Amino acid sequence: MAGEVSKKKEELFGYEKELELAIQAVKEDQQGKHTNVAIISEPFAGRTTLVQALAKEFPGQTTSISFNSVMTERAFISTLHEANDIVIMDNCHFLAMRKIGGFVQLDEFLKFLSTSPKIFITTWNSYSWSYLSAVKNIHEFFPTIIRLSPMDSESIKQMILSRYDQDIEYINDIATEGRKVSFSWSSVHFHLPFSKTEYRLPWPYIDLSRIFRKKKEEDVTEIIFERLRRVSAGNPGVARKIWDNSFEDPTIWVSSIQDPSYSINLSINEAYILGILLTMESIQLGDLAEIAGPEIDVEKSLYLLISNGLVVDEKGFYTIHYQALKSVIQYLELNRMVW
Amino acid sequence: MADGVLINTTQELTAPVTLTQIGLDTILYILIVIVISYILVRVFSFILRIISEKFPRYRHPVTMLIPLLKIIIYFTALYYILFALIQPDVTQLIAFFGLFGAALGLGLKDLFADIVGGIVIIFEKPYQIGDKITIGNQYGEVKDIGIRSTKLVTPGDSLVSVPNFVIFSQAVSSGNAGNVAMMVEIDLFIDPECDTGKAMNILKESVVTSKYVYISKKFPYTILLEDHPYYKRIRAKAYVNDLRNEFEFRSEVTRRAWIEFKKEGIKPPRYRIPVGEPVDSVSRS
Repeated sequence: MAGEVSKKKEELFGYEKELELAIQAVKEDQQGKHTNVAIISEPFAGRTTLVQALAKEFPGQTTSISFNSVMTERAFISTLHEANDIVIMDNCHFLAMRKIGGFVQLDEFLKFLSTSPKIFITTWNSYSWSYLSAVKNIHEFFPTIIRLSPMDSESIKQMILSRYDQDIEYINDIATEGRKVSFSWSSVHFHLPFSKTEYRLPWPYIDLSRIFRKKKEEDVTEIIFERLRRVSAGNPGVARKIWDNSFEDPTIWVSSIQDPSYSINLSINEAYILGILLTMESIQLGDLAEIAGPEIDVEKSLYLLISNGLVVDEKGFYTIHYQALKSVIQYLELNRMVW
Repeated sequence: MADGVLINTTQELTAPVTLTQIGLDTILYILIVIVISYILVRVFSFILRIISEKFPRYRHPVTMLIPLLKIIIYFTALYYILFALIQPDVTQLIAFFGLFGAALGLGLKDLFADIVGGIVIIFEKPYQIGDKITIGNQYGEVKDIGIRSTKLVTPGDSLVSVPNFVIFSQAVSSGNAGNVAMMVEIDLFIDPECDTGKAMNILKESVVTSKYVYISKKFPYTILLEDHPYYKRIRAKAYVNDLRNEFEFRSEVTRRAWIEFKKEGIKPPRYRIPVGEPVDSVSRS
């Protein structure tokens, strides 16, 4: 397995450029240009790894707070009072619940942040961010927004291979794989001139490279990492999990990178529960029931979602199954349950 | 003047076309054209509806192809039938349309107005299939735009056929104008002595936390307060993620807001205003 293979000292996590942006924001803040940073990504994309790497860049100057479940107490505010000048807050989407009266902790935090001279480096689930941005205008509190966009196959390759010292044997056991044209949707983020607002434009990703390939032996690595990108939709965390499940030291087969198809057809209540799981990433039954309210039978909905392979129960915390993430996002976006 | 034209064109038409030319094979040909065009319309409509349901966000653009296809297919069928019957030259075509015009004048003008109305609806798009519209006294979701009429399903699940020519004489309002999301207004009435700030905040949170809501820069929400002598009206304006959930959205927000109102001591108006009575004579309920 992957864990048994010896590893290099400098393991890449794929978002080195975004880390540089965050470091630069902190340095500018220290030079007097005050800012706060929001790091936004899909589930599994590696926000936590990024802020941990950031904390290592400023030893002794940071205070790190990581939220693992929904915050219902304001005790964390007192921690903020005593914190260092650089406050790193991971998983800030746990500060809000989508229910009446569920924004109290978020309001408290934003109130504190708006009057504090400290710099706050915060991480958010991208769908929670979009929701809270529409509802509470949270983007106005964070002049620096760093989005962890989906990776291309080359970045995924570098990230995965940085974990290994030894050579890996690549085997293409699917004859037709190299002849296919890969098409998928990615997104491009951009700013208009004189506007701070960031816009997202859906962008088609068409990979024609395999049509023009000449030497089959050289293609296997590319085929494998392109397949990995497509199956994971460029999500590095998902790509890593799929790789770990597929890799049999020291060999990787193309066919072992499975792309399970999910035919999702849910009622509005089940879709809503799925949307909450996507935006909160990991949530306990009690918190989920509180958000859903009495009109939704949460346990029944969870049972159906787990039966369909969309959700997993990890020691009492419910999360989207990493392999179903792509399908879940597509389904919920099409039905405007998340945006 | 009109009689003169009619006589002339009839004379022109009767010369080359005789009943003996319309044999069994011609009748069979016409029947096949009608059946094929009908099947084509049904098949395309069925496929497009399935596609539109699979991709809710693109429901309206896809379903709008249905009436367009109907017109194309039926007019093509008409063309084939005409040519099978009379194989007209230019003179005969003019004569045919002269007769056609006369027929319209005599009794088919409403049908023709409906067909023209249908074409105008397709190209001008005052509403589309899937829209929630008010036309005349009818409110409902547009299920089909046919050659002659538009079919609506009312909130009471009745199927109403509205002739297409109605768009020339009456105002049509579309709640969503081709979008799946639709603005919904939700009114709550509270006692004027209650804390309106708190009530507005509760209604706002009821709206933004609803499972049916869709909020973005393009689809914002608003909470408004209006003062009346014996009550205050709080109005929420927000977009429902799918117009088919309009009534569920209203119901869910109202129910959840009133549960919170009760917890916070916000009450409904104490005074009941009888319908038709002047405001001075309100009674305490």
